[in-house]
Amino acid sequence: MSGSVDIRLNRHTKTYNENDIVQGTVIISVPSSFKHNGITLTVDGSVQLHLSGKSVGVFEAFYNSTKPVTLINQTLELAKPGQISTVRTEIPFQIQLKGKPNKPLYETYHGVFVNIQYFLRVDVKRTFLSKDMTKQIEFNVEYSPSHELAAEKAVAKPAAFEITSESIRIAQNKVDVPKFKISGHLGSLCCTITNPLSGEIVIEESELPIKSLEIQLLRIETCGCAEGFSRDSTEIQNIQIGDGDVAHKVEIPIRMLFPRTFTCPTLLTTNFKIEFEISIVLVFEDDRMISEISPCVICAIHAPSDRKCIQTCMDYCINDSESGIPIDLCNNACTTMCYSARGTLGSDEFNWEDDE
Amino acid sequence: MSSISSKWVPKQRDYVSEHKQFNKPTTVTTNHPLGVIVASKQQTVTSTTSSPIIDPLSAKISQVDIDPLSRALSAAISTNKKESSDGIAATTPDTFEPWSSKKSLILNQYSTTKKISMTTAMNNTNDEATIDNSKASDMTTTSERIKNRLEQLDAFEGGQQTQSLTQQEYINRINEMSRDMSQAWKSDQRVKTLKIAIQCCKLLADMNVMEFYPSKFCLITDVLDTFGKMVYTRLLEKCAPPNGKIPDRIVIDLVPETTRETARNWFYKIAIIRELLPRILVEAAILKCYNFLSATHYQSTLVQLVKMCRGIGDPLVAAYARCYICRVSIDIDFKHREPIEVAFTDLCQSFHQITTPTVKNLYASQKLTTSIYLSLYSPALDWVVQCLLHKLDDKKIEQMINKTKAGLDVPSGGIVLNALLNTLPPSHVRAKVQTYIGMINDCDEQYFPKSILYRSLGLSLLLSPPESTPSDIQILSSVWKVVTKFKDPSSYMACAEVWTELISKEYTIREVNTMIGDIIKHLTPDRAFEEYYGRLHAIMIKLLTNVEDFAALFSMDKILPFLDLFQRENVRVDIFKSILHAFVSRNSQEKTNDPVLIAAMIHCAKCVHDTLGALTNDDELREVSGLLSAIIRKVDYGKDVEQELKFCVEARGLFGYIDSVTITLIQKVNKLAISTYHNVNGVHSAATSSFIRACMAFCYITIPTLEHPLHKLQLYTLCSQTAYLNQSPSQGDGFLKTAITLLSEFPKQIEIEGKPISSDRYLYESITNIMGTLVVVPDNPDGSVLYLANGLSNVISQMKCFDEASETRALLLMNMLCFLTTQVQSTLPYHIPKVESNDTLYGNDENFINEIHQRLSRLCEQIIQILKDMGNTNPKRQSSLALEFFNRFIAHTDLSQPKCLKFVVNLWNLIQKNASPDTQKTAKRMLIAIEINSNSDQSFKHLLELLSGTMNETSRVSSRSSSTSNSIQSFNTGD
Repeated sequence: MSGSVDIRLNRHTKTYNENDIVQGTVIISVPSSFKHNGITLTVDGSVQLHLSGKSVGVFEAFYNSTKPVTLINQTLELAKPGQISTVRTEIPFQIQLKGKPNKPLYETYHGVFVNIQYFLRVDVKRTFLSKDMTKQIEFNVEYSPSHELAAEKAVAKPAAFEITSESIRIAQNKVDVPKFKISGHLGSLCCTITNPLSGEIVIEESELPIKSLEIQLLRIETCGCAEGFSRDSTEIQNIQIGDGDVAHKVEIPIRMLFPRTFTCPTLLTTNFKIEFEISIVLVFEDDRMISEISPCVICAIHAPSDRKCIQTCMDYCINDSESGIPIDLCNNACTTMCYSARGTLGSDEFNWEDDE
Repeated sequence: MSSISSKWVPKQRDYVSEHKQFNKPTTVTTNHPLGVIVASKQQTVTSTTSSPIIDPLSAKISQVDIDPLSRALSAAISTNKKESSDGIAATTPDTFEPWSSKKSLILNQYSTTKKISMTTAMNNTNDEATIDNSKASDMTTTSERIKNRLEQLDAFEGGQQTQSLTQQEYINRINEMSRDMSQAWKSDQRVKTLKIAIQCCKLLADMNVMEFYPSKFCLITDVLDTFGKMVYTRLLEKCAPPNGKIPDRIVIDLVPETTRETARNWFYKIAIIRELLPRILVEAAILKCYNFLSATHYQSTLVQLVKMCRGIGDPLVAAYARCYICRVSIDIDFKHREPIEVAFTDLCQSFHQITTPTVKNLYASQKLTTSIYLSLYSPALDWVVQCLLHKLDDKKIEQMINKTKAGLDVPSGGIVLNALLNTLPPSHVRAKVQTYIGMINDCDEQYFPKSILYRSLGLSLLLSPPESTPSDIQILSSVWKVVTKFKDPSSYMACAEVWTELISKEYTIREVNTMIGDIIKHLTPDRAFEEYYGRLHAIMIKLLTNVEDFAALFSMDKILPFLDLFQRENVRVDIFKSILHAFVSRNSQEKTNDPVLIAAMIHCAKCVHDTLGALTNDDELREVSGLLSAIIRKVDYGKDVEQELKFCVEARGLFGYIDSVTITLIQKVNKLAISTYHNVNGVHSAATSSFIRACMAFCYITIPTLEHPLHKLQLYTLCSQTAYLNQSPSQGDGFLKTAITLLSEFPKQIEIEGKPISSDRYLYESITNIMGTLVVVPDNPDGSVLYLANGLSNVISQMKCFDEASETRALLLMNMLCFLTTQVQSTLPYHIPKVESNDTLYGNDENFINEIHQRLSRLCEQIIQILKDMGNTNPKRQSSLALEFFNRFIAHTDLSQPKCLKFVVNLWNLIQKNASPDTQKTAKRMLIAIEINSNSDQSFKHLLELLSGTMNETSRVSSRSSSTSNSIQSFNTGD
């Protein structure tokens, strides 16, 4: 017997703050009536931690996957055992998001080694012989403006920088660096997640023609537990701000939006840390590449119901020219995984616009 | 009164009184019965007179025309619009040249014959990605994922293909992409839609075949515009309340949260496009959607976008990207100037890059000169400057000009000045023309060619007519002082083309002459003119349209050397055709007798004529013959008729190839004869009559050169009429004789408008016309009685071109009967002044009358025989033919004679036998006419009685189904 269960949330954006009441409807449509042993609704939120094979070794990574940290686990009985008669049954529900004691609800975050995700699951228990029916959807959590973790307000920390061939030579101990000088500034190293990162960069001089000038957003994920900890930095996105041999002594604007759900306010806990870095990448015509990294703190200052969810990211094809950079030159090549390559997102439905 | 018994007894007729009877007093009609009823509104009349030029297709329908209901509606709409704050309403005023008009110019100007390479990803990347996605979910370890990812990347690289396309193929490809995009959008594949848009943008970063770049930009931004519109429309649709109407504009407070979310989502998607150019362009394309988020957000974004263009390395690509942003900006809010100002300053800055080796190598590798490379910037810069100057107050314009003036020696100086000249209001340029000439002179030739600047200046001046003509010679001399020194013919011609037009409009013929002389001087070395036929032709056209006085134009001493530059034959013919067209259409009523002008025109016409041959197609033949005929008609020497005849003789010699031109010449000579006749008031002196003979002789020897027999026949008739009118009967006789001889071997079929048509109908008309002429033709004293008419009737009976079945011969014989009847009358129905016709010559001589009576009866028998023969083959036709005969009979014969009366009644019976419905109808009408005439004429009354009597009888007879032969029998008893 086939049938389907679906969950519809009243809030279109699927984004909630802690203590919000999640309202919605469970829709069960079946071709004919059947008996069931109860319908339950579960809210499940957890932090998934993976150790990367790079820092602790493949075997450790495989066996010592750290236990997920449960943030919320609530169950609600929607219906007592009984009979579902009509073809389409709608059961409205509401449930308050309240984390476990001493466990704040962190913002949703999709990373490589750390994932913070929230799910809403409905189970229709069936009689002995037939299979249970289940449906799970993800929803997003973000800090309310008054949240204690959001308390760290974005303080403008403008950062001027100057990169020259000499400074690179000292820092990275590379001998063969073409002569160049770049200066510029970032609007602030402490950014608000909803506002774009801004700044300016000037190519003062360059011996070789430039092929590309890019801004890279990196995530630093640290997982720590009794067995040890791993700290890895991986690329989130890479945005080109200069294409071709850019005019010298001209202020080129830096502007980058933080991709939603792939970034979250910088989070430092005892078990894990999520931090971000900005890197300026300069590629010369002969494909030699220079990069300079500076840390960046992202703060969550949300206007109420401003930040929205997207279930699945744009697929990586749009960023196809990533391949323009020789992989081996990229620091994080091995983990420069596009988000789409990750199977954990359950991208069974590619909901482009969140239309419904 | 006649000795010979005949059925046809002519009745005596008094043509004068008959004429009076027919010409009843008439009233003049003022209205066309089928014409459109025009309500004579005083108002409309005045309005049309006050503004003579009203484009009937223009959208500006005057408010008066709208009915009250729609007026109320439109008022409501306009108030609505006012509400929506004049800033956002995208109503750019008229002085602003819209992009659409620029676009077509650019597409025409920037084209290429080279192959353009296009690199595109394979189409099915989307599917691949999804498949690989599912594969990826099975991967457990990171290394496997990496491997998979690298494979994907490799696959993607391999999926790219580079093709070499011609320009047309390239355009088709882009159109195809546009179609694919719309298709994807319709099937809700938004990712694919966006991907195609991004792919299009990437094509803009490709710099191969630069000459095509501006056109490429136009094509691709069209695709982007479509994309932007689709996104915007969809978001607007999402603003609609459930079951409600889609709003036509955005009210920010009413935008539902879901729509905002979707809009925001779009911008997030675009923000993560890795590459710079697509990111800028796509965001600009959907910039209007910021209106769903906030009312002012787009302002800062626009500035940001313009600034981001600084990151584009190639200055040309950057310039066009800025141009696109300005387009978007002016579309959304033309009052918001900041982005445009930034774009302009950045653009000026970017010209410094042109001198860098990277850029130089780039355009040198495509074999472009600096000036051509720089001219590629012009559409983008023009647009930006136009946006910048739009609605700018004079003070700011002044500031900008001063700024440009200060920076003339930097690389951007020339090109910016050019853009200014292209976009500043022409009246402004005209007012300060000396300043601009000075500025042009200050420019550095190495950065931007001065020829283009002078050309732009000329174009701008053309758009603003001077206060008085001829305008200041100072301008011309200071400009030309520089231009004439240009060594390169291409840059020289670019200026010359524009400035010749300006000179022809604003200066005297003397300057035009000098100018043309200068052009000749520049183009003669190395036969440079061969490269510039197109431009030279354009110059000539401009001269022809702008110089008022055609004669003055052709009396310039440089015009013929100028025309001699066109040495390739087809070009030469083309230019001559244009000249002839211009001459003919200049003032169709105006005639000329200027010998220089005529000589020039005839020269041109001869050249055009001489290119015709057996291979010329019909259309061209028609065009040329029309032209030549028009030229001939244009020539009018007034009183100097002999000169004009001489001209015709010459023209005949020159244009013998085309029949229709010869016909025109013959007509013209006839006209000449008639005008001479009028000039002397019908009294010829010895000199004039010999001139007339000359004219006639001209015609007499020209007509045989024609090919078409019908034309010959008609012209012979016409010329004979002219000859008789001019009192030269011997010439007239000559024409008629030739015409009659021509008839005897007239072909069965003639060609009319390319189709063979039976000649019957035309012959009937022409021969009847000849008979009409013959009425007044006096007999030649040396010949026999009615020599010509006799010949004609013989020819008619023997003509081979009539079928056995044809009734034309019978009809013509009947007409011959009518003609002979007129000759018996004491006075002829009409006369030629000063020509004594047969009535005076013979004075009703008995022998003459008898002769005619004999002929009449012979003809009559002949006709009856034909009728009889027809009875066996075609009774219906016999009936209708009999009706024709009946008609002529009752009109011309004396019905008081019993013989006639009896014959007529028999004829009537014959008609009734086999009458077709048509014949019956005509017969009935004829009966009514007889009835009317019977009131005044006793004989008609008698006829009517007889006819009505037989009618009853025949109806009885026919009911007994009597045969036709019976009636023929009774018909014969008339004898």
